[in-house]
Amino acid sequence: MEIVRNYTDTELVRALKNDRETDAAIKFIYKEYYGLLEYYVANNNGSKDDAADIIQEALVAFIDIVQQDKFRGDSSVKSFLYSITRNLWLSELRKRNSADNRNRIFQKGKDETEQGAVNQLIKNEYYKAIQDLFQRLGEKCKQLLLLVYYEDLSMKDILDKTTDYQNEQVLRNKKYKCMKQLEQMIEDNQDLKTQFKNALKHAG
Amino acid sequence: MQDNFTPDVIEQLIRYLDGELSPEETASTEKLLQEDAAIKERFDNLVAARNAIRAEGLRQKVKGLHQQFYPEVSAVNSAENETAKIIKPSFGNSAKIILRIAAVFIFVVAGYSVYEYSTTSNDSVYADNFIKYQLPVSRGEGQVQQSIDSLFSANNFNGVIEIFKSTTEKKQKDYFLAGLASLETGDSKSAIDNLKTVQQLNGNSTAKYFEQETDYYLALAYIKAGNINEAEKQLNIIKANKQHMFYQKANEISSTKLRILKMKN
Repeated sequence: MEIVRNYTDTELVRALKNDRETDAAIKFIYKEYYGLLEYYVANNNGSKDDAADIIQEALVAFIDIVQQDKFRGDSSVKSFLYSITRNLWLSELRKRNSADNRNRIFQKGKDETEQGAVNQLIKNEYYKAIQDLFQRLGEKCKQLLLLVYYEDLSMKDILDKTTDYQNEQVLRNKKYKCMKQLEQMIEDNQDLKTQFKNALKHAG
Repeated sequence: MQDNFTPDVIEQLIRYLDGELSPEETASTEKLLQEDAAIKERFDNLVAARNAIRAEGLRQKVKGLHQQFYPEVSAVNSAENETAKIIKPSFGNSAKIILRIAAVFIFVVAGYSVYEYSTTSNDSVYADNFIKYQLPVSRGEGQVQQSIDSLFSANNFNGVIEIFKSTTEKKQKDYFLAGLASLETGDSKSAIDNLKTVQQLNGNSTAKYFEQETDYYLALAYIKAGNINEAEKQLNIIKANKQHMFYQKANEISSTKLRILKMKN
């Protein structure tokens, strides 16, 4: 295994906000904390595959929280990641054991920091449902929307990267069309929004 | 569900979300969002959609990195676990091996002890340590002496004993040969008596005959008779003198076997 740079919590959070350092920061998290998080899941009726899924989800939630400047550092990154993983896994277990297993129910946070993480987990659960809708879009739509909203590329940069669009206006129109299509799917799925609101209400 | 919004309104909300509106358009859109809950809800859909797409991008990135990093982390963890497995059971294996060796050792020692105990007897220790005495060649002695020497050299031990009994004037050598002859014929009591007499005669005389030989054969006679304490006393006399002609032989007699004989006797 190649040498992985060591980070303090402050450096790690800063690195996760910087696109060029994100990969190295995630690698550090894997090296330092993956074993601990995997051990927790594996020793609580989970398999290594369960652990892999839950840890990835926890990581996504953590990075999201960091990138939104919602990680205040009241607890260490290790404790925070452990708390997220624990909550996600307990919620997954409840979902598996529940007759109504469509949604995960998250445990209310013990303190303000944890509650912030719990709310983020609920939002992520809602986003996961929207991602299922997103997968129904065409490949070009998915690729374009990821370039716009995840890669944060400008219309010009996207135009340079692809030959699918004649000019910026065509590209922009395609973006509007794809977003409208996705928004309409969300709007048409009232249950999704209701569950999300209820989950937030329950957790709060 | 019935959609009451024109595509232009949704497009306006998307453009607002993406920061593409002019300041005037932005102001009018914000006013619209404050006044119209239904429009606000549609805008919330767009915000959720954008966040979900971002989360999807991040999820794909983490998934890719997981596939890259997990094998490395897993390999390190496995190596650590393997090391732990090797170290821990290694200790266990060593302990098992040591215990097995100890068990075998105990078994062997116990078996050997049982074997030694059961096979050690007065006669066996005597036989193991008895060496046949060879009379030195001497000239100019009397007829009786010639006769007893000849009989002894010819291994006619009963003849030696008979001649000894019929001899009226007995010297140390007569007692000594009679003592050895008694040993050879299995009469340890007579052997002890005769050899002790040799010691007494030597003690009363400046001329010492068969002194060191008597020390050793008397010890053997005591062993044969089962008097191990007296045998040890004789052996200790020999062991105390490195110049004693039976020093080596006395030290070869197993003290363990003597202890066994003591227990048995």
